[in-house]
Amino acid sequence: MKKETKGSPGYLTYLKNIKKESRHILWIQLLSCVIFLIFWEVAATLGWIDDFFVSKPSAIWTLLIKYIENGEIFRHVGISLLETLAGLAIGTIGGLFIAICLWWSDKLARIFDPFLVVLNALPKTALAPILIVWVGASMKGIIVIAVITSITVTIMSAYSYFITVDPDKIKLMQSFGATKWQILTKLVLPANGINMINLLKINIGMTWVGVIVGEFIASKAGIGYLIVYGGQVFKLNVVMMGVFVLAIFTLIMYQGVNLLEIYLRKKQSAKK
Amino acid sequence: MSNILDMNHIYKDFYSLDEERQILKDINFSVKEGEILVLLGPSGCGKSTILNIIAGLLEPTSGSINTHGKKIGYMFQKDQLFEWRTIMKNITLGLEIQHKLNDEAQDEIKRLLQIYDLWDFRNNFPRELSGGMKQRAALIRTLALNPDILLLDESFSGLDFQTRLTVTDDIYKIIKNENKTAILVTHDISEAISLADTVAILSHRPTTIQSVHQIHLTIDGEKTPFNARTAPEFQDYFDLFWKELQNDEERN
Repeated sequence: MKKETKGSPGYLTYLKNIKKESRHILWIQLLSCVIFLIFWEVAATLGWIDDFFVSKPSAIWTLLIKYIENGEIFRHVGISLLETLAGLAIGTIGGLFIAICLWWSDKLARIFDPFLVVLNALPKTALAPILIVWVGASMKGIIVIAVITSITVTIMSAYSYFITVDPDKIKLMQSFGATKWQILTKLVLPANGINMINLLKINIGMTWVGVIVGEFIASKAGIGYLIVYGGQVFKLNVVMMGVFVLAIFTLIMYQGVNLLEIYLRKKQSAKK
Repeated sequence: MSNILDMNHIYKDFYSLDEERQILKDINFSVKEGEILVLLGPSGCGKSTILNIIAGLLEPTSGSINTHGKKIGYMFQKDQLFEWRTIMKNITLGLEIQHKLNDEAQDEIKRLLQIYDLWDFRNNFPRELSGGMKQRAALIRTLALNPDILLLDESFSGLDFQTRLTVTDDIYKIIKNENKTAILVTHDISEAISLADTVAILSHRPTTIQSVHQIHLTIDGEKTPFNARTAPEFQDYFDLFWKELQNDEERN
């Protein structure tokens, strides 16, 4: 659908220049990727760098095609994706639920405050070995690690968003006789819609950290397994391919959330 | 006319870890039906606290309030419209909370939006409206619950001067048209004289009522806050109130 833009010649030129600029930037980005890959390939082929340690794009590509043909890659990606989505859902929803509880009861928030601060400062991956022992070296264990890495930051950010809602808006709700539940559902949550989307974006990264670390420690499949296995047997092609596939899927999930954000914004302004 | 609100010996103390502060000291006043009472006082005195107590958002430390079973509507300094709701959805917020959003209420809102020129904007979002329109929308949101007494907390202070004069006229007209009683809080002497039937002058903290004045202005035709400013008595009231506020300033 092409929209007819109206305006003075000056305005149209202005719009055209902005479009030209973004196209320009996109080209530079693509070009730098291509140049980087060509340089890598050439350097490895000519022996400037040792392809035993750094592999090379064509080898990674061939390997990826092989993994796609025998279906191995789908098994690894499928498992990691399942763990990530489960971890993301539990971590985000659980974190929001706990943040709501803390918002609900100031006393509860004060009691939990020091524990949350410590838990937040602690690198959650340090807990991974303990969790694997407790929960078991299974998909369940990995999901628990993923949840732990994302839930603390969710609780702390969401809580701080919730308590910074304009006190006059809360007073307005109270002057209407609103219950605490109504203040939550009609003011605090909708006021933080965009913040929650941002939280989801942060959590995608956090959850992947948890999943990959979990797979490093205990797994028989998954992208993290692929990477750690490749490293142990010095097959750098496998490691690089794992990282490449990981980057692709993180990007896809991130863009998914972006689309969700655009959809929500559109829905809001399309009500009329 | 009968009293619609009585405040008897209201005291209010605020406590913090460091100190206890007396905010209100023996506040007494009554408001008659259809009257506009303006509480005029310096910034930082307990003006808003008085409104919060009348609205039931705060308990007084001692004293009693009698609202004679009347409903109270509160209008804040800023419009406090929710930016994720359309104007219509904002206006129905109070009714929604009280589960009173029926056909009758919808008709009443339609009437208010139409006479106060917001009907065409009902499906717009607050960010698409001017400051004055937002303030009118905020007032209609309060009126939708059909309150008998309106509390206005410096409701025009967020606006630039020109808009403020227009909005003050609009709001005054709406209050009088809809037969509401209003208590308005301000630190602006001119605004107090131009709007009020009665002005109560407040002191610094702990806030007491220094004096109460009935405002009688000679105006040709219908009174509006704008033409009230041209009344011959306006300057006399201004000087009197100025002096009282100054005297209080010097005592502190």
